[in-house]
Amino acid sequence: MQVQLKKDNEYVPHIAKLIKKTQMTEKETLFEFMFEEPEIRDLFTYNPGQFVQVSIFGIGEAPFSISSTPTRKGVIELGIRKTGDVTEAIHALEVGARSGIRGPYGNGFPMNKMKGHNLLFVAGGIGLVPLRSVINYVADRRDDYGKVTIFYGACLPEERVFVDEIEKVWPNIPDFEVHQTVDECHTTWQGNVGVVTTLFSVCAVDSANTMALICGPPVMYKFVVRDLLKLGFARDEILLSLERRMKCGIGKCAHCQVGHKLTCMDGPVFTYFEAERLMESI
Amino acid sequence: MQTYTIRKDEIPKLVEALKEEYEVFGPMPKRTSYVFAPVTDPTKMNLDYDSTIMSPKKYYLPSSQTLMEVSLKNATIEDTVKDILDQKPKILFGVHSCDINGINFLNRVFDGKYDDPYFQAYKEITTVIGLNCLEPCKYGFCRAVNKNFVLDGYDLFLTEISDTHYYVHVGSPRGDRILTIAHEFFKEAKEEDGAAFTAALHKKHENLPVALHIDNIHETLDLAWDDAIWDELGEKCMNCGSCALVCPTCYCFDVQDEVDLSISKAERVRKWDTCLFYDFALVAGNHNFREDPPARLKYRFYHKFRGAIHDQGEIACTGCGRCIDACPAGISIKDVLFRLQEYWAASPTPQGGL
Repeated sequence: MQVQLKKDNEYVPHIAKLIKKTQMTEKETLFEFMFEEPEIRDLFTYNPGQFVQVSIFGIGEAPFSISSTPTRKGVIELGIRKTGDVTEAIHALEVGARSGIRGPYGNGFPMNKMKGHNLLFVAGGIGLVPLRSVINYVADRRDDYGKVTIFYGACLPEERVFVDEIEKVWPNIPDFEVHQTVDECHTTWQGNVGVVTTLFSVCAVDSANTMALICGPPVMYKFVVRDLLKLGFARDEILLSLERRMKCGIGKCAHCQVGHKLTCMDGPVFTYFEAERLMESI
Repeated sequence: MQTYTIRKDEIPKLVEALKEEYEVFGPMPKRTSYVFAPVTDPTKMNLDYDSTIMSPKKYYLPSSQTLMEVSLKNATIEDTVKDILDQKPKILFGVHSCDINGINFLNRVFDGKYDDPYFQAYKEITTVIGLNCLEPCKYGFCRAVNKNFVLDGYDLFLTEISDTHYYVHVGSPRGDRILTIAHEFFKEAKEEDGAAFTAALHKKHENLPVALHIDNIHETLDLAWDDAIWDELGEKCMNCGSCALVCPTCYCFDVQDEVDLSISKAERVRKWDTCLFYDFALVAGNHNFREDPPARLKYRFYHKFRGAIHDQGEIACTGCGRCIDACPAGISIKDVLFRLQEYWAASPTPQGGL
């Protein structure tokens, strides 16, 4: 059971300290935050796929998917691309700096419903950030889930995130299979070249008793979904984590409305069955 | 249930009496129109007003509002909810049914799994004295959207029953409190007053037109998703957002941090925003989910008349007509609804019926 941190004012963040920065690519860095108050550190838990709102006071607040797994308590890991005012300020933080975090928000992936199923992950670029939370959760509770297949695509080899885990950690976990691809050919790259859907011809995917989890740039979804449907996946066996602009994270500001649903409250994880019924979703 | 009457010519005296305990806001003349404003001179407040430029949503969701103050030196945060609760209690005098319905709608949005403590605080300090509309206003179409009456959301509610008197319903203990502190102005209603009230309701229903029917609006919108009307309106729309600013149910907001000149503290401020603005659905990496103006205008209509039924159980339009008056491009929400009604009527039906 997830214990909810009940607050009088949900807009007010808790203070969290940056305890570690690990640069992953030119633009992406993994940040590890820890709540200052021990009580909040103990109570704070989340579902893989949920997100938090990070405040850099004086600059602003933005939503980020949690990249760590709740099975490894203590820190919250956020993989963040430097792309705007708030993310630039986060990248400029020094270890020990205090910022604000509130959440977790959104639904996350249905970890209980996924039990006993084989899992296919299709991630594009930093779409791996929320999926990494699920992958490591499954690695830590290996007996609860079936075979794991990971398809990861990036534009260029040097733009890949979590390369150590992709190449050294995950392939060594029992019944884990990892396939990578890059969009553009590169002299140092020995692997597959092509968009992420080309991996479907590299690795045979069996849709029986399998759920597919997808996260990537907006353009990726409809092509991946098209291939999954061809392979026989049912619409509710395809899970998409969607991205939208968010301000409040708690269902008020309406920025993240997609069709008649709110990404922050009803999502960010939707089955394809749901997404198909939401205007402009993918 | 006890009802009351009050003499129209005693309203200014009532307002004066209430000002001791409350800050009173009401429809005050401004150039050629009216605005909800502090009732500085109660004789200037006009309860026969047609409509106001802005809706009273500004008393619950101010156009710009500090949510919290943060000391940048040590990251201590103070929210502003208590500042709202410490304000002098407010009375909104003469709020029409459409606007009370607007406040009720906002209340559904700002309640729920995460309640919004700022909105709730404003609600806590605000007393609403409603006013029945017996005559249609220039742009309104409240009866077509079933918003020409209220079930709740008022503390007192006035209905004109003669040239000299209002009939008074009490909707809450807060309304009762006004009767207690200003009891000399209220008389217990007699049987003939009740009959006059019934007559007033009949008059209202005769006076308010209902040529527009929106009972199947959600189905019509589903059918009309790809219709050319959205491109046509989208090209006319200037994306200025005036419609959303005057709308009693539009609640979208932006949140920004503002740093003071000493760079020692910052305020987190929320401001009205609208889905018609270019950057409303713009995300990191410059992907815009609604880049073209027609997509944004269409989204606004679908959210109001389709999405809100899912989220809040009712459409997000009270038929107040303010957006029609405010639109510099001449887009009328009423005309759009009429065109959708025609679209529905013209859509193919099976030969010989079902």
